[in-house]
Amino acid sequence: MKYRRKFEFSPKLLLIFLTVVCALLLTVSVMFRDVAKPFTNVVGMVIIPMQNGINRVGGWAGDTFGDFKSLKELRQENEELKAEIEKLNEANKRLNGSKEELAQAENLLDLKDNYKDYNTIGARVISKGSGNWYQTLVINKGTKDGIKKDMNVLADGGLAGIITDVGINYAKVRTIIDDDSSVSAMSEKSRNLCVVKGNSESIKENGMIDVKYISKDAEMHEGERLTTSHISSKYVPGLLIGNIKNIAMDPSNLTQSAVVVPEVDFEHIEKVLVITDLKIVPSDSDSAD
Amino acid sequence: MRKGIVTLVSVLVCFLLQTSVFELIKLAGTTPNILIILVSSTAVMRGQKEGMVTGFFSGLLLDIFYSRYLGGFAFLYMLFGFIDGFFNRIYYTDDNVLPLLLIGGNDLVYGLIMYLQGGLLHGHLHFFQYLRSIILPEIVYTVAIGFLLYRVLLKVHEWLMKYEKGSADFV
Repeated sequence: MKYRRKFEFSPKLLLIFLTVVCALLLTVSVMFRDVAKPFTNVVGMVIIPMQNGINRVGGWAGDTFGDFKSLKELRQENEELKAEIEKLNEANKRLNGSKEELAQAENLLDLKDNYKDYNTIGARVISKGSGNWYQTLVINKGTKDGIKKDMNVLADGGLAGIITDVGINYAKVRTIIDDDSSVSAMSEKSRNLCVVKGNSESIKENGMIDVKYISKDAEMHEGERLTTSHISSKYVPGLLIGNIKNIAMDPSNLTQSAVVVPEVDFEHIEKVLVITDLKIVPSDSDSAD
Repeated sequence: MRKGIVTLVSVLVCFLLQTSVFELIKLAGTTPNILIILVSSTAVMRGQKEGMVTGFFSGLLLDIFYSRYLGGFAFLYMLFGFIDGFFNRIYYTDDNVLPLLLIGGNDLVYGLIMYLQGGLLHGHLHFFQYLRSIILPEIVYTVAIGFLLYRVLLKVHEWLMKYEKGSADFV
């Protein structure tokens, strides 16, 4: 503190100084992405464990209050679950039969690659944006767990987003509802290609995001399921996105547009699966996303 | 030294409050902007320089975890500190209204700026829907929490002042 007496910053000087610092930070982080990495990692080391802890406590509190459900409710739920297990068992047997058949057919057709199972890592969402404006998630796994940029993220069995930035013990996920997100997709039955674009406004209004660039001759049906396409440059194929709705011809008469209801409930997203298999395409190829 | 530690700890605590604790207790789908409460209160209680430094570090944390490039939030929050610091001259510690007005005003400006860059730039023209569903609820929640948090921050400030007495370097 003593040096301050000799040289006192006036508020205006400090304003200019900090503005220059901000401008420098902005330039550096725009031009060289990884220069700030060591610094952000150190901050992550401090903050992420704390956020993790708070979330644990929050989850525990939620569970504890949940414990006070009435016995009657639990009994009823038990009954329902038993009935469901019965149903699932039956379905499981049936599907196992089909699986065998499918494997045989795949072998015959040499299609095996298309349906391969992806390797995944589970992670917990520790924070969702910094308030009310962003559709970014932060998860509690980072480079030390093998997470890399551009890995796909699943939740509730559907595509949630993609990793855009990784620290040692955290990673940022851009969700598919983010305005900057666009995913090359394909309808499951009619196999038509399209692009799913995030829309932060309509997701709040009615829980839907946009589907663009459907070919004008495409025969998509309402309610058909959309999955990630085989021509995407960053998303592995076959991940469920959601059900398509409101298909309509664009004013240009060249393409059709629609909306899709995402499979993932982004309001209550708690746990995610990160697919550790990366889509590999030649670096000079055009992107369909 | 003591001032520095208090600033650092309060920024850290408020950041965690905003991004973790209040994420768990959302009201009407919104979380309060705790860091704005911290920056406005600090600036109005302790002056421009403290406000700016607090704002800069608060914004920097937000930048690191939530935005693509560093520096944007840091600059915005630093400006909040600078502007609110002007009101330090007409502020006295019994005044409960001025800090709340500043918190509300800052959050409104924050909301408008976020709409400009997050909504309008992406072609979302329904401004009033944003106003109704995000900006106004956030202001109400922020001011309500600010009413409580400001008192806590004032206590911290008074505790700090006790040690500052007789020291010439306090502005």
